[in-house]
Amino acid sequence: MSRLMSSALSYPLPIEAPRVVTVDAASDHELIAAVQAGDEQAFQELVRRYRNPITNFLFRMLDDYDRAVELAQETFLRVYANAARYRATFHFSTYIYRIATNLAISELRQRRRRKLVSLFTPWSRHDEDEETPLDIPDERPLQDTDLIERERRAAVARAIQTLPEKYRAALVLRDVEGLSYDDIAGVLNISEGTVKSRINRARGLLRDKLRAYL
Amino acid sequence: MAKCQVIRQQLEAVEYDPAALPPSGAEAHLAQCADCRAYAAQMQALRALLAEQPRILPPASFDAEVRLRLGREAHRFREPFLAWIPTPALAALAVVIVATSALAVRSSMQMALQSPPTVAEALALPTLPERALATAIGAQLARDLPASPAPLPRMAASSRLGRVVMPAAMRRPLPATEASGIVVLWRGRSGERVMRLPAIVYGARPVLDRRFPAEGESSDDSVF
Repeated sequence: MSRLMSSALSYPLPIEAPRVVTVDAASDHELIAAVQAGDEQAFQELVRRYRNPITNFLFRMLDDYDRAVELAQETFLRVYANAARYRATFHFSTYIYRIATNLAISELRQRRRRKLVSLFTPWSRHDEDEETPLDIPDERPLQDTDLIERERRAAVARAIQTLPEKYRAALVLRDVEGLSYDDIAGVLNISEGTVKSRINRARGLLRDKLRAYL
Repeated sequence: MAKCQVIRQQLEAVEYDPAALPPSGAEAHLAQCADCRAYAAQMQALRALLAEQPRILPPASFDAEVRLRLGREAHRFREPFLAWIPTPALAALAVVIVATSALAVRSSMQMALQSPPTVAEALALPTLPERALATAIGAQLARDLPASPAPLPRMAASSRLGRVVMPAAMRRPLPATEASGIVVLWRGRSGERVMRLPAIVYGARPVLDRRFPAEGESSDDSVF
């Protein structure tokens, strides 16, 4: 949370436009109150503050960039749609992460159901009008450290994907997003003890899978 | 080993960093247990590895796409038509509607049972005349014919080939009044649909039966 707030406050404050200064300096609760009153600029500020952490969180949960971006947009749409019903009982970050987590878990469940259908994807025809990105191979020899680092990151990403979704959500929120145990308990709607237990279990599973990199 | 488990849980609860001081109670154990020291180092390395994962950023067009979707999907954010009514009031209204409908249906069924239609009314009905006709004829016969001294056993139905079969006790020779009590409701190529009235005489319900035409018997599609 502190990381989120510090990134929000580091935004350069324009002196000429007092309204923007107000929005920039406002707390999340003040912004959502402004959204409730129909202030579009306050909503844009919320999007600006949370687009990066929410997209990163969804990507770590789903390992699919396009879908993560789509669901991040959907998260903000839901925040906007339900702004009138928002109550400032939790941090706003808890609220928005809860929406994102629910979307991610629904997506993972849908994927599980679609798994059989995806067997046919190798036969799917690409759109002829679709532009193929120009991918020029880098001819320079890869340095060992880069190679090792890339491989290690890929292995971590793969290992996270193998975790059961309830462990994955708790672990990503804590170790990747840096939320407190209290906030994670609010996001997942479980007790703090359960959060600790799930994170501990997830780390134990990852430790077994990533033993070679530790 | 049990001690190791307890210590490891303590270390994980505080996300112990081997560079810092160990939590109270674990210090002595860590000093003498190499496995737990290795475990603590591995867990610290794992947390660092996870925190070092590159941050994935949304595309530059993210804000514009959100705005676009807000405009395009505005219908999703409109208040539903009945949103001004509180949910408990809506639920209570639904319960009242269902209960009233059930009572209305029940009372109309009771009225129909108490005052069955006449034969003429039943024949004038546009659909399903058989049941109404049966009820009407049954009511008329119950008025005109004397009651039976002993009731017959209940009829059993068999679903085989769609036929309603009389039980063995019912297949005895019927009295004269019963023998003539068959009304042909419908006659077609596949047979005819008849109603046996004698059962009504004995206080049981009329039975709809299907008879197949005998050889040489005509089977037109005339409706009775």
